[in-house]
Amino acid sequence: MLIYEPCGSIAGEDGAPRRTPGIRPSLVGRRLGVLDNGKPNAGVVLGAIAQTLVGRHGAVAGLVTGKGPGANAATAARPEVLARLGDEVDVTLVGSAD
Amino acid sequence: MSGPSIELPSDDPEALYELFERHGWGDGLPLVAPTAARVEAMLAEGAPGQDPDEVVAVLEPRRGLATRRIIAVNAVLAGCRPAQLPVVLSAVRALARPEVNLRGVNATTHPVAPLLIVHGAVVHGAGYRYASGALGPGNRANATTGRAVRLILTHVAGATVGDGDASTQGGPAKYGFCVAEHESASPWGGFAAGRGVRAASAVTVHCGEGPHNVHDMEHGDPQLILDKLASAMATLGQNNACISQGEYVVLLCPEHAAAMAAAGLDRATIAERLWERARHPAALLRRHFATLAWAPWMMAAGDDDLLPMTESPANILVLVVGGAGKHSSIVPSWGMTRSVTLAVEP
Repeated sequence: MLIYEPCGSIAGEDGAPRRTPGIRPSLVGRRLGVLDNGKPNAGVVLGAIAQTLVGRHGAVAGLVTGKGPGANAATAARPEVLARLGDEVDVTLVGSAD
Repeated sequence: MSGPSIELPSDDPEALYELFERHGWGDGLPLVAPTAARVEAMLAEGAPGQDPDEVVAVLEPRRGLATRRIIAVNAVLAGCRPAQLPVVLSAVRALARPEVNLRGVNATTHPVAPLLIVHGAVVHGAGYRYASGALGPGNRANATTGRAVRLILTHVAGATVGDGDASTQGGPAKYGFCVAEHESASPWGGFAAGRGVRAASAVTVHCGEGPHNVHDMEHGDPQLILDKLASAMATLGQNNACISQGEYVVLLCPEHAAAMAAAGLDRATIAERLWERARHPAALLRRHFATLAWAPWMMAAGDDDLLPMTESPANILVLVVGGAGKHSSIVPSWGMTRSVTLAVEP
């Protein structure tokens, strides 16, 4: 029996199909950012992970930021914050939920 | 087929069930196979003359493209009849509105689920239950409309448990949470028209908790009913306690509604009275929540001031649901979301 797949397509910001980013073979020299989602202790946990990745895997500490003015744990980061992360780091650590 | 397809090894219902389990799709319950014939029939009867590949909504967090066809696929999977498809389509449109904040609704650790409230002619046309047992179980339209929306959130929006949906405990409302307004028992007319949606049929989405029961059998005194409703609204564990924009849906049973109407209370007055009653001292709320998303006037309140559980009476939405008996319910909000009422359109 032939059935429809239930998930359909996804879109990027421009409506075009989204591509999966290429997998980086190594973190050595990669600029590492942290996006604090505003939940209690998120910054503590993400900061500790960042330190581990810097210390053990050769990443370079980069931008540490919250989601921006008016944003909170339940809302998306401000576009200018995402743009700055895009400009200033290669990898961003983010947390979903608590 | 006009879209990606999957060949099942057999027509046995178990084959479909196992496929979905293997992919992490579905809601854990058996499904109806979305064959081309069933999906085409759903579209032909449920959305005649409409472009099946038009994108009705983009659903977060996956940024899934919700076309009529993929919505129909999920409606078939859920067991919907074609007459329900316009309600499912309109609910999806409503959920994609920015004020709903679907990304947050889907991704949060909170057990939030979209409550769908169906209004108007489609209630009778598609067989939605609005009287006894309206919140379930036992009615196909209510059960499968709610289920279809959940499947769409899982498959198209990407609210898969563990990554797209981080809910700490989950909740039964996430299986499906759909009810119809008992408009003929409402002393105040239809809810949708009261919100300015003057269509033959409409659907409201409100993203919140499961229903909190409120019973008052002994007195029928509107003041005592209001006290009980307010006490259910004022539990400290709700997101409304720390997010003042959060709404409440108050589902009054017909007998409670009639008692209030007999005392001269209309929707706005009921909301005002609940807003006045459902309060806590600011100091108590501040002690319980490190982060407060309150209106500025609430942030400025003194510790001894009694603060409401929501910043405005306009955030308390009152409508009539249910049959004989004296049980009403409260549906608190997730908080960072707003309800939306839209006309039902294919």
